[in-house]
Amino acid sequence: MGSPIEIVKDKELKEIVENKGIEEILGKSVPYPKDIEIKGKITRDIIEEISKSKKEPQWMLNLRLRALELFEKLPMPNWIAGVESIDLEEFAQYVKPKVEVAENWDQLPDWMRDMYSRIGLPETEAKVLSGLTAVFDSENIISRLKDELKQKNVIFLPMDEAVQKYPDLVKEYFGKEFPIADHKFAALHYALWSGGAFVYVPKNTKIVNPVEAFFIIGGEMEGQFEHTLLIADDNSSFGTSYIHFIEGCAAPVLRNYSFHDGMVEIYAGKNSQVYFSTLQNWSRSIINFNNKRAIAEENAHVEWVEGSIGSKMTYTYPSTVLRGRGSSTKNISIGISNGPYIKDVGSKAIHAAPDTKSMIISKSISSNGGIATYRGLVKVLKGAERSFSHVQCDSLILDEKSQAYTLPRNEVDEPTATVSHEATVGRLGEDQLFYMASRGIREGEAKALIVNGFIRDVLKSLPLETVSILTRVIGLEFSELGSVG
Amino acid sequence: MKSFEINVEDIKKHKWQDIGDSPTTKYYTDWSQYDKILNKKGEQNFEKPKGVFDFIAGSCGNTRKAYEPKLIKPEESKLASYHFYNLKEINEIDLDSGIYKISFCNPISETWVSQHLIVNIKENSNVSLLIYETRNSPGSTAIEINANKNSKSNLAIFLDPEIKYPTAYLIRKAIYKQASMNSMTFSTPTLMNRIEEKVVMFDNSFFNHRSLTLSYNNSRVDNIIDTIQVGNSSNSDVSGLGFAFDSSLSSVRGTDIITYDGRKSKSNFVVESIILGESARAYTMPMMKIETGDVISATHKSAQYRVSDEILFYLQSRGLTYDEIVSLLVYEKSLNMANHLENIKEIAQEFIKQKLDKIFKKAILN
Repeated sequence: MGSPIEIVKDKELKEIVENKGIEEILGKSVPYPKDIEIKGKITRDIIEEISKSKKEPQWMLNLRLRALELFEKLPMPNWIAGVESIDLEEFAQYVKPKVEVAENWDQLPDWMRDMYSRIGLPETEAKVLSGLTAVFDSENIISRLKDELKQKNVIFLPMDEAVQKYPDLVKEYFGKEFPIADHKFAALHYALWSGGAFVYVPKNTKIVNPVEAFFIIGGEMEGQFEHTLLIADDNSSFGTSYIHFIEGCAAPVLRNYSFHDGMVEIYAGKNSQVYFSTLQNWSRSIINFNNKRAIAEENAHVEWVEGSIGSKMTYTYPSTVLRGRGSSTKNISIGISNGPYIKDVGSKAIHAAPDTKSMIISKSISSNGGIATYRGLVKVLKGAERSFSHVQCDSLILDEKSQAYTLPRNEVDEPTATVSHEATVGRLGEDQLFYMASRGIREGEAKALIVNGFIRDVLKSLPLETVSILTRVIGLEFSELGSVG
Repeated sequence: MKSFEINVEDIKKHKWQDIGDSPTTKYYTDWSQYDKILNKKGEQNFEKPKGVFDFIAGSCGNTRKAYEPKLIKPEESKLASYHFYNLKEINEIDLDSGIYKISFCNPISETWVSQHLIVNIKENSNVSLLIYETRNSPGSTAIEINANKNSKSNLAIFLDPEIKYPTAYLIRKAIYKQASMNSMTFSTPTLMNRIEEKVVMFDNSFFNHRSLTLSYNNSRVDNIIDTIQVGNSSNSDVSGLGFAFDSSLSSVRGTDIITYDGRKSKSNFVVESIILGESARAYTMPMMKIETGDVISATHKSAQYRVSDEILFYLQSRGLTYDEIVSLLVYEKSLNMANHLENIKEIAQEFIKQKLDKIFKKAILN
């Protein structure tokens, strides 16, 4: 097996350019049978109905109701554009497709199995994953865990099932990393959450292959509120091994929009290593609001990778609180805003202990009137002695109409800390295009080549599985760039 | 007759800051310090500044009065509204080629005093300009500089208010077609010192700016440097540097914007905050909004740090004490902020040096 960069090199440009967009792969949304669809004003009754249907313990219902109260009190976030157009009473808050939970792909109805096959999920699962759970609308419809992980007592379950089977363990961590009152959409998420994944990795355990959760929104005017909770107990990885969780998202083309308000909470115990990769390729019909936060204990390492390709609007800022001495985090984001769409992505690193380190790398590409924004925070608290942080943001604008914003904030309350930030905005040079045109490379291909080169140094540092999937997803997007030229 | 009458009820409609709950924007300015002072009534006196000046702005001075602000509008913010609400007069001067020293009258008061000066640098002129502002009162000072077509200017603004009062500075510049400006703003601290610097650049203009702020004696400085490039082929090179001593706070931030009409422009924006006190805080927020893909380059950098252990070890091994090393660093970096000011460089550096001498008690670079 070659290095990630070799794999990228080996990828034929032609294949990347000629790949189909996610819209073409999943096609247009088609009607499908639903068991339950809850719409209208979000009320206490609706919350109680969702909780009852999931047979939840009282503490979870109480948490949901507290979240509802906060949701009603908190103002709409005013730092971002576009969310004011979301009518929260207009969409379905909970949708259960008419399908029995399956143990293998063959048990799924044809129309659904066909959708996953087109994305290539069963094949990926068979080849590289230790475990997989797939969420369709509001419910997990299939979860599979290989024997390798069962033997190590790793818990990998749909979130709803984990609440019932391991209530004490879930209660200890659920809602603790990402506060309910953080903002209006966090409160909304906690009130309505459904589906998602729960992972518990016991002490001193390694997972060699990644686990994945894949989310599909099947219809329009739906809300998806899946919750993922990942607990890596002390020393749960060491040496060169690590826990790697991949999150994928997709949706067919919808006539109207749908709304995604998911959440990921990570607890990284002492000396653990957690890699969390998101490969977001929603169709242009999705408004994507993501909430991601990790807590890293002593010498733990948390790495976020955010491949943010599709959607109408995306707002996501994976954050790590470095709570233990010597803990570290790395956040890599690649955002492509191709067309009149918004990518508002970034990262937060909160240094709350001595000798902590954070590295944030953001690469954004805007094209065809797209707006790509980096928004981030590095906060070093008093007492986080000798902390170090570096932020690097690079933006590439492919045409006159597109825009790139870089909005970093660095707050240092500790005199022994070192924090630095660098950002560049570059354009696609006419000279570069001319040079390639003179060698017979058409404009679309040339753009693809340049974008590929722009992100290559980031790809080098990513886990192999992520590179493989990310290059494919980016390739899907490049096919559109190719057609532009 | 003031043409900028403000209704106090209109002011109340404004918030101090519109963006409140953003994950990346916070109240670096402690607005409560202004609230405590703004409605206070009392006597206001003005003293002639010490020294020889070509122009003195204010009731004790010799500039002409103007009736319209050009680059600041009362409705742009609550701070601007209060500035105009408390403002008695606007002073204006036009400058041909030459070297000029300008000062404001020195207000002495426990109440909010607003001052306002407009400087017009004439077309095709070559102007070097030193503006001094000393105050013994809380309040706001607005300085508008219009660098007209084809002008060339070197500009140094020295802000030296009494530390115990909250103060605000509204500095606005317009650099018109083919004009170029080297400029520097230097400020000593106050209880809450907000320094808003905003420049608008037109076609083929050039702007090379340095902003230097000190915060000590538990003071708080919020230095905001915004550069808006609306003209084709404009070129900006802007940096802000803040030193935070003892338990003080230094915030250096701003936004560099290249609009769609600012195609083929170039910008470089650097902010640094250096932490020199055990309980000091340093915040930087260098933002960039690039609204066209047709830019030559746009870069920004920021850093917060203290004297590195390597430098400390090296210099201590050569017999320097920690305090001497810190003062060396501060003098060196501060004086460099005036290096680009051509024929007024030495005057600017001497002023900075005098202020630093007061902090460090003696000048070790002599």
